[in-house]
Amino acid sequence: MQQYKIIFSGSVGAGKSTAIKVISDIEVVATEARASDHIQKMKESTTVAMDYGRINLDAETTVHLYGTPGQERFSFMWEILAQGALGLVLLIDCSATAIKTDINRYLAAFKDFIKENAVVIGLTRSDLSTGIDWEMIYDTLAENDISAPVFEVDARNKTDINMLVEALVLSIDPTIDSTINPVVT
Amino acid sequence: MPLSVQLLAMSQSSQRNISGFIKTKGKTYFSISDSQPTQVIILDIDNQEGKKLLLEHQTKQNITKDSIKIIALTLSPSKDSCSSIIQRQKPITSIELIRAAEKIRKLISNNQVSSSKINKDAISEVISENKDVVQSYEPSGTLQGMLRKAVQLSDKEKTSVVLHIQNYRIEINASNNLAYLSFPKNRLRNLCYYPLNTSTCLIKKESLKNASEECISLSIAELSWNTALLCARGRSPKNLDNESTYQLKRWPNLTRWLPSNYALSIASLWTKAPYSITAISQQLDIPITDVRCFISAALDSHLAIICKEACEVIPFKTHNNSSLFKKLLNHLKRA
Repeated sequence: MQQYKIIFSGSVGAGKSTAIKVISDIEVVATEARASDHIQKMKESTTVAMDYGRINLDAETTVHLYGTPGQERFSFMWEILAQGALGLVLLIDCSATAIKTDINRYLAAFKDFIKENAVVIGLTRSDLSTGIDWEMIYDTLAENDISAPVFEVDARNKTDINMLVEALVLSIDPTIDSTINPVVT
Repeated sequence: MPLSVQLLAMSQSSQRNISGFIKTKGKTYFSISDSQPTQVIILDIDNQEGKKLLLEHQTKQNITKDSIKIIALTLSPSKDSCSSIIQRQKPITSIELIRAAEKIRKLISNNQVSSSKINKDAISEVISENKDVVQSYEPSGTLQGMLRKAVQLSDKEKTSVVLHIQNYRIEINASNNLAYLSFPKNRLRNLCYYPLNTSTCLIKKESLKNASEECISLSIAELSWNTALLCARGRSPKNLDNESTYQLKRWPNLTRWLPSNYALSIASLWTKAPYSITAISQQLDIPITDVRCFISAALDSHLAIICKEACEVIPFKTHNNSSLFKKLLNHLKRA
């Protein structure tokens, strides 16, 4: 049995749990608790330990999807969950006021992991923001010496999340043929 | 033996779907060929380019008894008027493509039996001439070229400029990196089909702010990227040096912008190190036209740069988990 792992992390309310839900082949196992601090203004409940989903590729191969809690006080979970993962999907809420700080915080937290593995960045909730400042985002990545795919995504949209994961895989190995498309319309 | 085939005058998505089918389930019937004169051409005849190519084929068929067979995709097929043209209704299914292939095989074997006298040299000449015309295009004679001029002018003069094409207007404002369209985004495709020049596309220093209609705003990068791909339509843009070294500085926003063939693989490799167009095509084992289309769009949208100094090209090594990645990609594509 071959087992692999992909991590979903990012800011509170960015859509990590939703993203896992839309691509998981199983009912997602969540550890939601009622929000008690400033998060309460954003949403009723929040992830406190992890979200867990799974992609079953065949009888012998499984990709486990783990979502980290967004709040920094649970950051001890981030490193634990990231151990042995293939890559990191980082979701950033771009309707928030401190996008740069958020990106820097997560890139710093996963610095060692990113050095050895791949990362893709999904910018969510762009419909609620006044526009994405791509210049600032790429400058922030450059300051962290990171060249990663950055896409605008809707965490509820399966196509968007699939493309993020595809980009993650292809940024590890771009030579894999990605043209398989058996349906002709 | 599979029939060698070219896909012409069709949208990116149709091209991707049909080539995806040919490379998988349809590989015993067809094989896509970029460099050789092919036995079959699949084309969409519901657009101007497709109609023109079909007409050219019919003319050549009368003169040279051309052996190329056409599978013409259309929303309203008529009865096949000529043995070399098979019309099929859109959307085409894999079964219909397989049936068309079987019909062509029969026609070819019948022709071989009757051993009709064909002037092979004349045919090769016609085919290669046709191929050169069809497979490459000059961006300056399309909206892509006009947009480049407008962006340069707006940037240089630090003012808004408006492109006027018939009743359509596009404002370019390089200072805030935004473009404004006086028409729905999906109409851009139509504009990219027209050959344009300085008399059919006027560029004036003005703004659409005072115009009564509502405008749609989008980033200049997105407009440039989409326009370049729509103008290319699978053809190769001229005036790009295959041996120059390029590097991708930023990824195109592929969840929202038009996807091009192999865009994720190309972007991934090109952000890792500088490569030439030829090197990317060889490393990824993909048609050079797709790489040329990608870099043309990336240069127009300022995502890529040309490296002036010679760069060390590092061959990319495949990953240990490549079989897992293939399975995962297959899964995601099917989802």
